[in-house]
Amino acid sequence: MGTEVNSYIRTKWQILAVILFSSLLVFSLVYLLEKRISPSRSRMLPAAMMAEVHQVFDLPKNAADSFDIQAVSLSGEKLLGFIKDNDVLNLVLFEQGVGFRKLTKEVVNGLGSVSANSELSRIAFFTKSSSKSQKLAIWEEGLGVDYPLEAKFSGNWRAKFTGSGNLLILSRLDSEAQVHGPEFGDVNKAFAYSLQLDSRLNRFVSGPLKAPKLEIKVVPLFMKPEERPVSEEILANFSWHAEFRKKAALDSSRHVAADVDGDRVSDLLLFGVGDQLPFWQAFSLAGLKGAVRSPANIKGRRATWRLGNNSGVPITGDFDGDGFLDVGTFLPFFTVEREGDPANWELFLSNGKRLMEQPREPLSVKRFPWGNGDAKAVVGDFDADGKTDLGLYQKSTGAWFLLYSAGEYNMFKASHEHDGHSFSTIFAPGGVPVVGDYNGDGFTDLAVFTTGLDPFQELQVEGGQGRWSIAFTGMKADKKLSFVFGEPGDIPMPADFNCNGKTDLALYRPSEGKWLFRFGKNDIREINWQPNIEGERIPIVADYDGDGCSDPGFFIKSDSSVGQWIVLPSSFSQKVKKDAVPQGHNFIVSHFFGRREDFPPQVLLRWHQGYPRAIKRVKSK
Amino acid sequence: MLEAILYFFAVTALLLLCIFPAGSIVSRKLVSGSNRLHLACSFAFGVIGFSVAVVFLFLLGLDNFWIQIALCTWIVFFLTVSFKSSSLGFFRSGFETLLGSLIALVFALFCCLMLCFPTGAIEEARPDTSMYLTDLPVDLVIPYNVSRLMLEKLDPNFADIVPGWSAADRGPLAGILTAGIFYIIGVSDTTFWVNGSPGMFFVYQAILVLLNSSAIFIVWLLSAEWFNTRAASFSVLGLVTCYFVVINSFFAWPKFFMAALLLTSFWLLLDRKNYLLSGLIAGAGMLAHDSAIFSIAAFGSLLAFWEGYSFLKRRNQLIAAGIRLGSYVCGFVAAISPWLLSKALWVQASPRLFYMHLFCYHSENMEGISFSSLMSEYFQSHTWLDIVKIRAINVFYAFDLSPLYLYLEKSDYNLFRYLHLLSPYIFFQFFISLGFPILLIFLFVIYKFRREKAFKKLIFVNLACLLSVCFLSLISGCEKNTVNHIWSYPAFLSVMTMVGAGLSYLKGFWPLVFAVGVGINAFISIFYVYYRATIKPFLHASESYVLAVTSCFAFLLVLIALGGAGRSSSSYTGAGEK
Repeated sequence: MGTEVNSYIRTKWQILAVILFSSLLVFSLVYLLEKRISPSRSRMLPAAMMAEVHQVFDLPKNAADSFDIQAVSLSGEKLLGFIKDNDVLNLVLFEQGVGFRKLTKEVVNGLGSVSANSELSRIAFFTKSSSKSQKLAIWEEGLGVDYPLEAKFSGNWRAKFTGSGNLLILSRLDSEAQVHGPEFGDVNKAFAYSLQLDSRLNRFVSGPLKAPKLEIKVVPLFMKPEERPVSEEILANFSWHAEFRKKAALDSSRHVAADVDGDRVSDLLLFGVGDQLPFWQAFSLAGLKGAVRSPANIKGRRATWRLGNNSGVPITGDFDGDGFLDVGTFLPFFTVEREGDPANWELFLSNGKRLMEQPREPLSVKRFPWGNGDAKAVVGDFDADGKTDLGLYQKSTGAWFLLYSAGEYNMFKASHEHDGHSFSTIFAPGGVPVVGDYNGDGFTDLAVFTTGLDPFQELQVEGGQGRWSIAFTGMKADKKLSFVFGEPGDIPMPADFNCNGKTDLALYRPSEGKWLFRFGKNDIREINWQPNIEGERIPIVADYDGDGCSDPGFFIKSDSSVGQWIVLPSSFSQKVKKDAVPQGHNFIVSHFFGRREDFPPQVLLRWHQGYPRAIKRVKSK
Repeated sequence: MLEAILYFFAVTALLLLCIFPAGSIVSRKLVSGSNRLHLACSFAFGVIGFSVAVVFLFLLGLDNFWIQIALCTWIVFFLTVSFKSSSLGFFRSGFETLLGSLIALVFALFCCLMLCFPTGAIEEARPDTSMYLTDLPVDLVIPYNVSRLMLEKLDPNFADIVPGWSAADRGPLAGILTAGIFYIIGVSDTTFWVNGSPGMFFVYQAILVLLNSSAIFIVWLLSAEWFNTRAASFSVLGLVTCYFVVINSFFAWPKFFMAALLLTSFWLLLDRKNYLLSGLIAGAGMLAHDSAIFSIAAFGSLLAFWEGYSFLKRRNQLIAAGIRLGSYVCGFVAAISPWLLSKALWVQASPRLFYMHLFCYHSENMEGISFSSLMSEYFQSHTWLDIVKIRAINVFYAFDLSPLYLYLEKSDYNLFRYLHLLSPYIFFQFFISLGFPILLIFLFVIYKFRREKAFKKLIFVNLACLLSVCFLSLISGCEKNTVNHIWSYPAFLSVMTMVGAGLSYLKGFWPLVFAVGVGINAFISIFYVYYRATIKPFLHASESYVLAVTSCFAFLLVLIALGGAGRSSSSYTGAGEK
């Protein structure tokens, strides 16, 4: 058997050429296929989609250092800012392909601070009217420069738009700061003023229009810092010198909730509900420093992303373990047939970069289907590997399913319950998930808050009290604890409020406007606080002052307000010694940021998990 | 759509590179004969060799990266060696072989594009798309999940391979080949158990479609070898217009792949009398799909009968006949013994399939169910007469034509209603699937050419393939169990080969009968695939999808017509043949 024929190739060089050719062929085929079909690469968002929201500018090298960017115009690829020329500040517009254009002949007062609202392409600044006084000017794209006040300012002032752009805050920066004008009258000695702008102008007007006069209403905020009432709300637009403490023991791999700029301070993060496209937006906070450039030196304070499923529930965490925030969405009640899409989880990984820096390139995406029916998404670091894991809690059955990020969300291995990939357990049905690291071992523990039922004993609890049932994962995996704390209608808000590295049992009681914290068996504290503002007062928790402790707060939605964030920072404790919480509180921070459709992701996740919404409207006094 | 075509060809190139260079070297060394047989054997040996390499590397416990390197080296090495030893007979084959391979390739492309419903994007090729296009169960994921178990190195016993079925219930060959390709590409699907990652599933579908389409290629080669290219064209035309063949080619179960291996095995035995290698390739067919056992049993029985007959005629050949049969069995056992061994020691098979056929036990619950209890229950509920009757009905069922006229009146003589009523039978019953005109030609060809030498071999193959239904009937515990998708795949190939071969010599109105038969079959295929399935491509697909699929099929018909235009002889046997 067999045949012998003349060989096609005879010399060594021919053999080498064939080897090279075949290697190249195999490599090309493998590269071509791997690039397209790899599950981790599929369905990556096109870069163009991101570029619609995040412009990239190439500034001239000589201008890049002196150009102080204040705003990005959304109407086109334009940057607003100031250029210092012979010690004189000029308001300029930089446009890609066009270059710099001076917008006003007025000389910008370099002493005063300026503020810009990027969404509206509006910028506020002080111009020199004489050697000792200055005037407030507002420039808006399409409208040009306007002087909304007749008043003359002397000394050093700061002008700051709030996130919505409808409110301009004027605040004194030194003792020389004075204002003289009919609008200010008897309240001239107020520490700060808010200028309510005409909401009719809260829109983009294209073309060079005649600038209408802005109608403004000046409201004094408060008189002096030392006379400041404890529960009075103020707007955080001051260079407040607070003592910041970073928790030394904080694991560097752990991210801070909603920290989009990587400065270890929670930022204002929102997800649009009901938008046609998924819409995330963030405003970078710098702790209590307010509107200054972020300590992380990120240019720009606001960013937006179109990521995930607009009908989904937003989730946040550090899914890739790089220490920076990642975002994602979970689509509940999912079936492939209904959605026509094989994935209901979409995670967008920051890949070792701050989320705020991500506009320039698309995030890497993980998409997979997992969970159906009434399964509720939960997130936490259940295996203490520094990466946020995913979980599902099925209220109707009390079943928990965990999917560890350590296993790279390998659903195939997870479905085979391969070690390190997944975990499942079962409680009695009912309750809302309240996961957290209750024993401080680094493992997020499984927990539910129920009223009238003990999930471990499957017994009805007397009196309809709230019960926290915690099943520890990690080092004390076999231990389960139950605490009676709360009552029906309470909204569980577990977080580490006392900086001991353990999640504390905490509640917001909407019926009484009260926050309750359980720091120990005999250490239950409460704060009687809720903002006296009309609207839907939604409790929120995050570390907004960057001290490593969670701060309670509210996100308020009202007809007049598109989104107001009010936070009780915990970092003034050492100065003021208010004892409501161990770290004290006496100072309320407020920001306006968001659109009518926007809600913080933590709020949307809690609502998805079945937390009560606690809608209560009160009339403002 | 263009992207899907590009990636289909990329997958094709990779699969062929894995299989053919190695296979052609082995084939050239072990098998003498024409280039066509050499090509068919190259495919079979390539499949076996590559699978053995993948399993060997897997059993070594190497990291996926090192398996990737090793398999890439495999391709480069065998490509170089095959160039050096001039083993790639394909390049020296004539136009007809090239045409045959092109036809098989375009048919595979057609099937693959159909799976990209509705937009033509490769992400559309998903298990659910395929299932809804065919209304067939989840079995298409079985080889895919076998490959995933290998890639992820998971215990196959932990969970069902698909709901209700164990990994050991089906032959692993297609899964191993898929795993090999995924190892080479360096990807692993980590999505949920019964899902498929979109891009990877497209690759898997392309692999399975190519393996199934190899049946078309083997039929072409065999027809061209034993008869002529005109016969090959008729055979292939009959196959690609048959609803059952189309559905089973693009649904990712490796049944036509199994049939292709069996046909190669029969061909090798009948032409070269190489019992050992023939048994080995038949064993590979068994590893591709377990239903091969019926055809192998039938073929083996006929072989034994023939050898027995020869022994009666020439009594001095007893030992030689014994050696020949023994070689066949040895080859077969050598191929399947590793799988049987792993089933005995590692991968636990569920008795469900066994009980289903043997005792008509359809429940998924196997708890507390034993063979003896089911058997005693079966014999208690059936008399001997019942049992014999069931067997007889099963044999008859496969060839029963009565639904063709029974539903005529029920349909109120409405064509679409008639086809709708007939649809289960068109899928389940052999002669109805084949179509009445084709059946007529088949019977006439057998009668007309029964004494021709080349036809005798083909009749032998046909007899073996059709007799397999008797073996299935023998073990079937319930009536109407002899449905097509259990036994008929080799039979489809052999019958169409016979029809094509006969037609190439027949004149008069027989070509017209064939044209009518093909036309009816094509109409039924279009009607069922495009209008009757759960999702209806002609109604819901994008224009580019419909355009690409129809253009592809039109091109396929042109190629077949090109083959049918000439009446070339099969005299070319390749250079260097001894």
